[in-house]
Amino acid sequence: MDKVEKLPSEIKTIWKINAFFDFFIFLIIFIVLLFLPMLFPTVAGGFFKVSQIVVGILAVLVLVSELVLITYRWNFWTYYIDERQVELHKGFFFRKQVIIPIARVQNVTLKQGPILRIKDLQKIIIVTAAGQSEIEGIKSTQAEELKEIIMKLAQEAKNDI
Amino acid sequence: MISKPRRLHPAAIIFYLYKEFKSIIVSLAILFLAIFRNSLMKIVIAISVTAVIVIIYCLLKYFTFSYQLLEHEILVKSGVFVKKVNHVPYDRIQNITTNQWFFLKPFGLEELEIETAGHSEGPEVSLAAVSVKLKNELNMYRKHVNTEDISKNVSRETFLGESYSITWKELLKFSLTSPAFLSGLLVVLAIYGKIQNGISKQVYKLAADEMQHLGIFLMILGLVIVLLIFYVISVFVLIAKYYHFNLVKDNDQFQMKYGLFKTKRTTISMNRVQAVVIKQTLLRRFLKIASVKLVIISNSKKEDTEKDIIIMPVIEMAELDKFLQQFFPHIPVEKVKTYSASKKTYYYDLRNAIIIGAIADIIFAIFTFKIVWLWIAFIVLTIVFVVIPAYLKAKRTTISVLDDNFLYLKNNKLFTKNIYYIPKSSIQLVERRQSIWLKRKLFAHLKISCRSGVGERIIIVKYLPVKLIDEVVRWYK
Repeated sequence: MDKVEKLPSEIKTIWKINAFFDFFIFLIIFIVLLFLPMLFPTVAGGFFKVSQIVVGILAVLVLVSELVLITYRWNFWTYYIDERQVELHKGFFFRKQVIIPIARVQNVTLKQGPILRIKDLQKIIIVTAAGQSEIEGIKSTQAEELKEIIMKLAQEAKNDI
Repeated sequence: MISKPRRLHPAAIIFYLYKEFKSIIVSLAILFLAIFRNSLMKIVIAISVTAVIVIIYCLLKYFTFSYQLLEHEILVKSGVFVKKVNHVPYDRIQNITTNQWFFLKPFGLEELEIETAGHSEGPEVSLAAVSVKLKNELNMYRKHVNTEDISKNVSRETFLGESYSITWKELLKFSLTSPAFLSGLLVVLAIYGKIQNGISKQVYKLAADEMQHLGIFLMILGLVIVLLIFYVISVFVLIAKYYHFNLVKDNDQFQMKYGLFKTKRTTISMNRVQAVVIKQTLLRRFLKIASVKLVIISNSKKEDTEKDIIIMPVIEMAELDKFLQQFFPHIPVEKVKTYSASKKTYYYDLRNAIIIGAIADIIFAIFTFKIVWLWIAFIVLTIVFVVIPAYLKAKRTTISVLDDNFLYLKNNKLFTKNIYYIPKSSIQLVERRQSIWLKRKLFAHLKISCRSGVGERIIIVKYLPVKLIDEVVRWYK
């Protein structure tokens, strides 16, 4: 595990599904806005028109930007685990590098929602005493392995102190 | 070493009554006024009935409450309808606080609160009125448990009798420069806003007419007088609160004792301390005084900075290093090197502040372009509250590694300078941020996360040379 790793490429499909899911939510709001004027005929129509346009544009913008950014996100989302720390790297234009010493890890949570289950991926949540960090999704078998490694290292690190 | 189950001192009933009445009095008064507007008789009856109910409830509460000191834990039984038995092991006790009102001093009584690391809201155990001897007794039981620990752990260091008290001069400086009266004013304004709905319009109109006669100068004068009154009250409250502030370090504990009317004693165990913070507002900078606070793990769910525990409300800057060496001998204070911020840092901070301020100004001006003085006032406000803090931020932000264990970090919040001494062991994670444009210029940000209260404290420094940031990251790895 001593090398910088990328998320599995299946995560791209998940992100695609998520993007359409977000779009769907906007769509529902949009449809509700279409029907609202019938319920409240007294309110001036201009207000609804403006909000319809805003929501419509937002929906398309969110969908397009999420779809376009998937490759970018995947290419620059890496993680690295050795016996001392977990490191997460995100982004290219705005780079983020999170360092969590293994000794600070309190517990590791594996999470799998219905969308992640399709591709047999797991979300890993690394919990410290103050907060938590996530690895958005890796293969289930690998996740189990990773969990074992982090927990084993965490226990060893604790014993050192 | 097991004591019998004990009751509180009967004076506790008075405290219960006081608390119950305080919590229901406002809602009750409103209710009564609303229901029995015209019958005085009915109001009197209703009040006496509630009073009797409350008194009976408090008596029941008193007689169902008992505590017992066992060999390894303190056992508290309470509850009128729902019986509650609470076991608190001595070695899980984190803080013990006692509050003593001045009128209880002759009787040798005080309120005692025990806090643990649990996630309950407020103290785990609260004993409303007990003898002052109980704290010593409790400490004896705790020590007895602890000595079993210590025998295993011989190398534990002990420090005895380090003590520091604040002087009158310092206390005066502190109270006079506190902006606390402003927040008090806000609270009053908020209450006024609520009451305003209740005041009949006629009264309001009458008052408004009266005001117009008085003219604008008198109104301003009135405002100044109100502010002044608040200021004086806040000064006295602060003096009474921190009167004779005394800090003692004993073994692994800090003991603080302060207060004029209500003497408060708090014990904090050292292993809860996450970081030491030195805070200094702009006004206090001119007077060369600062406050020392501790970031600790506690049950407090209060806002970020409020839950920091003040261990020294005011100290002269010249004394500060000596104080830190006395109470925190691990912190290598002498290794702190100060160097001025780089020009680029000023550039980035001021650029961002001016852009944000200008956008806010423009938006505000579009809406209020007719009222010239309003948007000019707004521009002045943005300069004072956005641009000046940005300048201070650039000037003050630094980070450096002191030694293997301690990190020195200085940042700025509005007008307040914060200096943090953070041990490596209490940093939960670090996050280095850098955009591709900053990378070329060799600058970066750093985010540090610690525990505080029940949650997380995030400390951020921005726009520092990448050399400094990377040194910290390497140190942390």
